[in-house]
Amino acid sequence: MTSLKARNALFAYRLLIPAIILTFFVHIIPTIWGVYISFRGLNVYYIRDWTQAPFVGFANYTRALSNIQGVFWSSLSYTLIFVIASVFGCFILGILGAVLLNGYFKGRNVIRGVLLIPYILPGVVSLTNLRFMFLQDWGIINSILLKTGLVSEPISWLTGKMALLSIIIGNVWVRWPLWFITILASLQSIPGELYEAATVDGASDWQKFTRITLPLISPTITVLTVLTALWSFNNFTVPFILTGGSPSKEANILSLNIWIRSFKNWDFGMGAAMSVVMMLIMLILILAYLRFTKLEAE
Amino acid sequence: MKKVLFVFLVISVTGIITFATTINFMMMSGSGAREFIAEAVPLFEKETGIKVNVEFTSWGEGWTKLMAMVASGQGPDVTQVGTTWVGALQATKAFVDLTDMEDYFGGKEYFLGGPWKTRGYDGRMYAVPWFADIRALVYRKDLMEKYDLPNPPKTWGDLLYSAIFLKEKGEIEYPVGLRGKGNGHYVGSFLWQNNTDIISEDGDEVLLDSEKAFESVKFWADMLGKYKVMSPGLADMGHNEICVSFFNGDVAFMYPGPWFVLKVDRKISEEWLKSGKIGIALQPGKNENLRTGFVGGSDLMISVESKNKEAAMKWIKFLTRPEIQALLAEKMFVAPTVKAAYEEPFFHQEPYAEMWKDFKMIGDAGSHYPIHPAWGAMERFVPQIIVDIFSANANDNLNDEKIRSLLKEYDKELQQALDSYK
Amino acid sequence: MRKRVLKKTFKVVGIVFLLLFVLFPLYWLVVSSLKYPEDIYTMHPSLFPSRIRFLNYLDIWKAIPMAKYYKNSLIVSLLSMALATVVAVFAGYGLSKFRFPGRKTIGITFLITQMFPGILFLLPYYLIFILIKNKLGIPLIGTYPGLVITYTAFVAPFAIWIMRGYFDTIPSELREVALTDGCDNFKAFTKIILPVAKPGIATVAILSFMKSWNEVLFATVLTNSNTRTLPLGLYEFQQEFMTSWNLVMAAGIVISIPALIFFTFLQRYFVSGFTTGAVKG
Repeated sequence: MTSLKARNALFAYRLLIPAIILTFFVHIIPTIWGVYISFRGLNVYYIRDWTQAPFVGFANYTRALSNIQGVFWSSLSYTLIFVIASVFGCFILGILGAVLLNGYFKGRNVIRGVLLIPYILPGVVSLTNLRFMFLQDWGIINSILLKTGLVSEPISWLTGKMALLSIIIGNVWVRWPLWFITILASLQSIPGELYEAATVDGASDWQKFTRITLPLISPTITVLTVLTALWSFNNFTVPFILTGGSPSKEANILSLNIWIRSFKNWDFGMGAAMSVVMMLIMLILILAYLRFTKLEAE
Repeated sequence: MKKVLFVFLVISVTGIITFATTINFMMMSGSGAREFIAEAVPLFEKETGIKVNVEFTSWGEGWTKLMAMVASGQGPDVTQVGTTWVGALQATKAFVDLTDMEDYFGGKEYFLGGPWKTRGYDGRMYAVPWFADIRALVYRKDLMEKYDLPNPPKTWGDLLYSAIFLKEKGEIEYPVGLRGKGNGHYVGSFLWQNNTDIISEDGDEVLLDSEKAFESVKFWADMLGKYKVMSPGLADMGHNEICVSFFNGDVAFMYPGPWFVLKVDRKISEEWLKSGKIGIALQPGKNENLRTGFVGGSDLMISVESKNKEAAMKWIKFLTRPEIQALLAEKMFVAPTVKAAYEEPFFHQEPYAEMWKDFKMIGDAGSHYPIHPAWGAMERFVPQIIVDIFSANANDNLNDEKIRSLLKEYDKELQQALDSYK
Repeated sequence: MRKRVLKKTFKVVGIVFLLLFVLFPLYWLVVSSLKYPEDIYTMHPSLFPSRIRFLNYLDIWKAIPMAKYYKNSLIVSLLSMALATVVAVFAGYGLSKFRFPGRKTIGITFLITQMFPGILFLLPYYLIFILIKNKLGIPLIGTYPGLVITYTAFVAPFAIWIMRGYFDTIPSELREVALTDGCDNFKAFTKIILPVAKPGIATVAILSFMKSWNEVLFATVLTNSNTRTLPLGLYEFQQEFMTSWNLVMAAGIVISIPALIFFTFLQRYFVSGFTTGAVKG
């Protein structure tokens, strides 16, 4: 009996080896090295002989976390708003789409395909396009808003306060189809009898939604939330393409901030330190969220 | 058998020689860059037998690629670099010290004064000046004549007065076009036009937390927020868009380089030049004697790891020949750094002859950021302050206090970068 | 009765809203790609332009070596897709159908990698490539393999998650029957399980292709002008001194075509792959 188990386990390991090697080589080792860099003063003067970069202990961390231009903490708060709003936006649109397209009707498959396009399109293309639409003087959005009289002056979408909203919109626009299709899949695995029984019991649509649908899809929602939050934290393409390499404070979310510090200022030590802190924050938030949803389920 | 061996030997040796003389050149793409290379490289190859492999990269990526090159020890033999990068690159020690070869490349008298200063710090030469991006005031001469406005505006007061005048006359709503996005070098220019700088002469102190710096920034910030002669929409615009706006009649004053004529159909820009609609002058200063503008451009540096340093130097010498500088100007509309180049026939062709004369004169009076190893890290301050000012304007809290507090922050941050060098 | 009408209206309004949200930017993308430059640089861009310029689509090929970038993107993305699919199918199957020590840890490790910011390990990763070149003589930067390995590893965790969920829905009996019929583990896998898993595999293939096609950050350091991929081309396009938004939009559309084609043909599988796969994850 055990030798069968052992043979199976061996087979499984063999199946997993390629993935494990890749993950190690590409993700784990470089990240550990990255953490190591965060303790060294690797900047423009040492980039050539990076082995000689001096060990600076926690200096990079203190520099990052101290309030130089409020760099880290204000960036963090904008990042949190960005992540939470993105998840929320995807959630609303995803559920809306999934519920509306759940039942079959003529043309549904076509519409379903169309709604997936933002996810398939290359991010650079979608975001460049959105940026073009958000231009203050030449963008179509301001043009429409002005023509219809909704605003009296062109809105500055990419600079200032509205920049944060713009990157949230951009992030939601490209990510929501994933929620849509996953929740849709989830919905379709809910047995119809549950709804029938509820109707017999006199439940309203809203009650059916909140008592049957939501609880049953909540594991899916949880995973989607975690993944979207992680991707949004780490993604720098969205803010970069929408606001460029010198963003206003409101759009200077952590990922972009760190990229600028590392690749424009060549201050890799500090960039690495900021990344490590960001990772820790992400970890804490995710764990807290998972614990919270576990409690909810019980 | 011996004969075969001999022939084989000859072929392989020739082969080695031919293969040995290929150099890699990294160039930043821009209008006309590929056209220039298409003509220049064959000329060089014919003359010297050295092949040149050109790799194009965008300005944005260029900085990253240079870092990668420095870190890896692998990269092109010769690379084009922005003049503002020379200080940081010299400090990496990844590039060849050319100080002893100054005369080989022509020496001090061969180049224009401003560009010559960008060759390195501490009196050393690590970069050879290639072309200059001379920034001038380009304005609607016809409108100034029509309304009897200062032609050209020589002081900040002249500029502001003219802009407000044009606005109130209903001629142009936002007459002044300064880019609100990216590396707007006018930030430095306004400081120099007020007889101050970003770093002190001795390179020890950052001067942003000073009354003069405040005046400089306030001047253009007020044009945006207080007098509203600059459009808030400039926040999304770079040089392309501003030049297009100029030729659309939506902007009357801008601070570009000679390449502005390439931003629209050549027929249009030439027609404007011929009909006297375009005026080119030194950028106004706080007073008449402080007129100056940014003169940037690109230099050429040789990698320390290069295995073909002689060939690399030949290529650089070729690129700084007067007739090749003229070719560069013809294709890319950038200004030569080589004095003798301005005698070439290209610069005397109409309708550009007058324009080049103006630019050469302006280039002589130009200024540049400090060539300093810390500058690479500090340069971000330029686009950042622009974004912060435009941002504050969008958020409706652009006022004197805001400007002062921003400058204080930058002063602290830049001082840290400066001190870290020591 | 009234309720039904309300419900129907709500449904229609909702769908229209979503369609607008998705289609309006896409419409603008297409329309702008066909405009003349003068119609772009105006304060009153028109929704229905009076003149169209098809030449835009020719001009973009001249401005930058798009054909070369296209070739590079195709090669890299197709290779990454193939490799990632194989890796994900194997690993997903292993995680789904077998019990062995370390199973949970390995599963979580794959997910944890999503937490690592690319910017943190970009430089070390690059330095590792350099070390390999110096110590082992294998060039990786500016080569196809370097990029393919990278993208495969990037896509793998998510792909594994999908495949695993998908395999979870295939009943274990299938495998057991195959085993009793005399197949060994591997044969059971290839002959019996794989054919059933086609929709899941198609999903993973499309996703890997798409994610490789669209990647920007690592491509900036891992490519040189010979191996540069399309998204960088678009970025380079924008950065060039003389660009018009209309050309940028046209380039954008051209860059999107392969992904869209892939998707249109395999959409059916994509959705059903998700239907069975992602849910269980």
